Amino acid sequence: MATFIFVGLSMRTQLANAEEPLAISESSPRALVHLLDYLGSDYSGAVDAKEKSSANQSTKSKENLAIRLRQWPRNFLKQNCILKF
Amino acid sequence: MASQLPETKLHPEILALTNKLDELVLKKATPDEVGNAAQKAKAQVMQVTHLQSAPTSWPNISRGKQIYAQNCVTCHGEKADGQGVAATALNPPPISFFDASRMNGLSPFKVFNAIQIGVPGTAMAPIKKISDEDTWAVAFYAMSLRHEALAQQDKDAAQKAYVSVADKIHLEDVASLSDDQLLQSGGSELVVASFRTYSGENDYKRALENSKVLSARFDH
Repeated sequence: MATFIFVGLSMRTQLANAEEPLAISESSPRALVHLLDYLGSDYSGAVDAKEKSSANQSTKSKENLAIRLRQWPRNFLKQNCILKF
Repeated sequence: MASQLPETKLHPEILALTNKLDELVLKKATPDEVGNAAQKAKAQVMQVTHLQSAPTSWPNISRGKQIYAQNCVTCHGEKADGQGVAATALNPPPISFFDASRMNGLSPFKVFNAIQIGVPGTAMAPIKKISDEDTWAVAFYAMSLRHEALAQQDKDAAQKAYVSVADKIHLEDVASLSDDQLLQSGGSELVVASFRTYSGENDYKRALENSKVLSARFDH
């Protein structure tokens, strides 16, 4: 029972993290450049961290980031930036 | 500050590049593929919009320290080691500005953007109340911290190191290139430390006036 609750809470936390709205809400050129920088560099770090699979806190954080990136809404770039051109 | 992207015929190219990026992320492409696609799209956006990637004059690092104390210590800590009083509640935790694995790939330009735009998926929210000038100052301050000790060890050597490459590296480079890229461009860690800790005074400034923009060689 305790295990079930723990797993349930973990999943809920993961979902909450995954669904956490991304901070970028404006469509300025700087916001788009920042987003591309972030994606270009942190995607690499996130994938590397996931492959290393360590209990290290920062690695875990990067792994969470990888989950978010993988669950990135398909049209995020277009919704937030491109369609507002 | 947040001007909208202008209407130009180049936008379809940006759209194509970001569509490609979207596809790569979806199919879980390699980091190199995603990174390259992101850099191409970024370069295109910067070309189209003429987005400034550097301040117009050398930022005042002392001013940056003040701005940091007023706005950043709660999370990033007084020592800028990511150990602020609010840090324990944050996931992912705030960056330590002494963490080489995180800082090597950053540039003042990226830090500037992180301050003004925020960082997706973290507690780092946009800070809109700081002027562009002060944002550059705190970005340069944050980037200077881990180089301070080396630059302070021998100020004369640091200044000589700076002057030896100042005709090749411009303020725009220092603002837009990461520490890794500066190392590739200018040589020693002392050179990078002298650029990162320089605050726009004395003989350094004269050398800068004749310098050339190097950053065009990089995709930032």
